[in-house]
Amino acid sequence: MIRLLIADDHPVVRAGLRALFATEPDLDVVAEAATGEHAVQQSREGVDIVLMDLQFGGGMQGAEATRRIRQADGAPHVLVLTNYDTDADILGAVEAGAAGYLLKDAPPAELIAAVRAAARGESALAPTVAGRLEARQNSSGEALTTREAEVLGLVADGCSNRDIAKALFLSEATVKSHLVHIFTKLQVSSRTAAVASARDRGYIRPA
Amino acid sequence: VNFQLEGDPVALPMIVNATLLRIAQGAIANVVRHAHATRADLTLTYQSDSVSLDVVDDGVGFDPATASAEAGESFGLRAIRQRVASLGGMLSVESALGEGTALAVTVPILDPAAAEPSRPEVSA
Repeated sequence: MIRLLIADDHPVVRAGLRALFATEPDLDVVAEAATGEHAVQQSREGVDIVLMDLQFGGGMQGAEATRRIRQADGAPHVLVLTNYDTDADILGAVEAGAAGYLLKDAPPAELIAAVRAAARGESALAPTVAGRLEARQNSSGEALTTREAEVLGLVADGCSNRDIAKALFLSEATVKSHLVHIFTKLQVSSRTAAVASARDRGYIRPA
Repeated sequence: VNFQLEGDPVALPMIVNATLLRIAQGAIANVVRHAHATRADLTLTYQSDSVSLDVVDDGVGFDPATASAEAGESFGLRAIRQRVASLGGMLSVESALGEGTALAVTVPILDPAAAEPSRPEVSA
């Protein structure tokens, strides 16, 4: 029997997942959490797999909750479930110790297979995500760094260089330098084009 | 004071390391002495063609135009500017009254062959 904890701030999502897993005799949802903090707490109580939302309405977010859960001895495996498949999210979750990453619109059979794989200690990446990670590794010369993606994300939010410098505690000179490198890597010549290109490639969140 | 490292560190000529360290020490000392800041961040950013050191605080700031017009550029800043210029780099100082201060030093990373210490020129 695989014991599951579902951590998501939306009751409908939790209910949907519970109903889905109820059809599988070897899967048992033993706990639910609506916040990251609660998920960390619940994960200590006899759980094999945590299904973790990345974005909570407030408080601790999914990547941080994942990191804390994975710190414990004999910690459960964490499968991240999210709406977004941007590389920044994937990297954050994987770095935090998640065994896998699945999109909420994945077919139910894929979700169930991923839970069983994670319980066996295997990693599970949605095919679209796995493909994109691979594509990114193949074109590593052009990949944005985490910091560059962070800068461009703020551009997408409408921030000026000055706003970005303040937000990141950097000089405007260095912000500009990041933008020059971003433009070169993405082969664009404007902020708007950089944002559009980075969204296409999954470096920053869709609008 | 927070320290952030961005990018993949590469080996730099000893003189660049030493200069950046000196500048970091001096800049932090300035922040402590003058800025009345609650936070200061030191960021070292490695990029493909350059390395940058940013020292940014949220303190009282100053008006760079006034500062250089009244008293000439302060001794510390002038020393930093000269050190950086000797490495082919650039210093930028961004500040305004009440807006904190950002000091950025950017030094080009030359290709490994060129990064070898060049022989001092002998002049007759």
